[in-house]
Amino acid sequence: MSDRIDLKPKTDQEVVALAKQGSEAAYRELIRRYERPVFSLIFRMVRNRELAEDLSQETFVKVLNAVESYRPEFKFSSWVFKIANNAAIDHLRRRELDTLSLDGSPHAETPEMIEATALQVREYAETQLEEVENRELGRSIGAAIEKLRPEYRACILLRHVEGRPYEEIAEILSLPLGTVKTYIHRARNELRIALEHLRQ
Amino acid sequence: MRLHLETCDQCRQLVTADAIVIEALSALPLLTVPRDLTDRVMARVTIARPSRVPVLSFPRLRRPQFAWAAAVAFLAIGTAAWSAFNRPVLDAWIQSAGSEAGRMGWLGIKTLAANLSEQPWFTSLRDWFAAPVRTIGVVGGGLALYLTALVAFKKLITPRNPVVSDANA
Repeated sequence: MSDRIDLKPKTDQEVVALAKQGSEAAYRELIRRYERPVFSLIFRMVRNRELAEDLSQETFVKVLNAVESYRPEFKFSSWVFKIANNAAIDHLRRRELDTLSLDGSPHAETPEMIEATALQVREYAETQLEEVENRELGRSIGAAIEKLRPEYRACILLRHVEGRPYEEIAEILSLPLGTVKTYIHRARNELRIALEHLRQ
Repeated sequence: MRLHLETCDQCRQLVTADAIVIEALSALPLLTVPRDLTDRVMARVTIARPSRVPVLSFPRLRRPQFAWAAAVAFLAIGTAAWSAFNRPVLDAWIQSAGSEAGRMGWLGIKTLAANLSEQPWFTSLRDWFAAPVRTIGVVGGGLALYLTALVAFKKLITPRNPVVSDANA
């Protein structure tokens, strides 16, 4: 029925409504829309690709299995990010994570394993110098983000990586708006100090 | 603020450093998602089945049902017509039936009371209830029991809300 409809121009609410009517294409469209931001957020929270994949999968399974109970007066994106963030925070609280380099797992022993565990980034048309600089910056900021408190980390990623407004972050994290602003301010201070060496 | 920044080196450096951090954050590389993520998720998802909305419609009547409905309608219309043309007779019937019902009811209550008061346990029960504290206790206890049963019944007939993890509660 609705599976032949072009879902791309439709709003989240419309796609969710179709999903509630049993359209498999609508389910797939919701995953397509949020897989990258959800995976990125979770990966940057837990810094482990395999784990991020598992947690992203869990997030989508939870979201889609509960889609019938979704209340359209709330933003769908907030709901998805809330579940994703909770999954990451729950995991971080359960155990401390090993650090993972952008170049691959520290536990990787062979070149194949290093390649397999390396973080895959989108290909950019960069000069070699830019690539080196970006790698250095990316590595430094990744390491600096990792040192932040999980709450600060979630706030700063949602604000400056995902570009979510303060109000939505407050809704996603179930925090007062003032607390979100404070966390972002503190997180930026900590990142600024951590990246001090790059400016010199 | 702009004027202050023009003159204060320390603040200007802070603002510049802040801008670098924000730029670095927004320039973080996009991550590639595993190709089979959608299929893995879909394998574990139960597609919602739309609940059928009941459509208000008249049920189709079969022949015997139609006969019964017609008979009931005929009786109702006939009764109404007869009542309209024989109002005084109908009033007299209602009046006598009402007074007869009242008389029978009162007689029943009196008979029941007489029977109860003739019972051997009635005197001891009346003496027991003569103390106001006991009467209040029994009435209060009964009331509490009634309210408890009412609450329990309400809980029993109220459908439970489905638990949704992390939904916008």
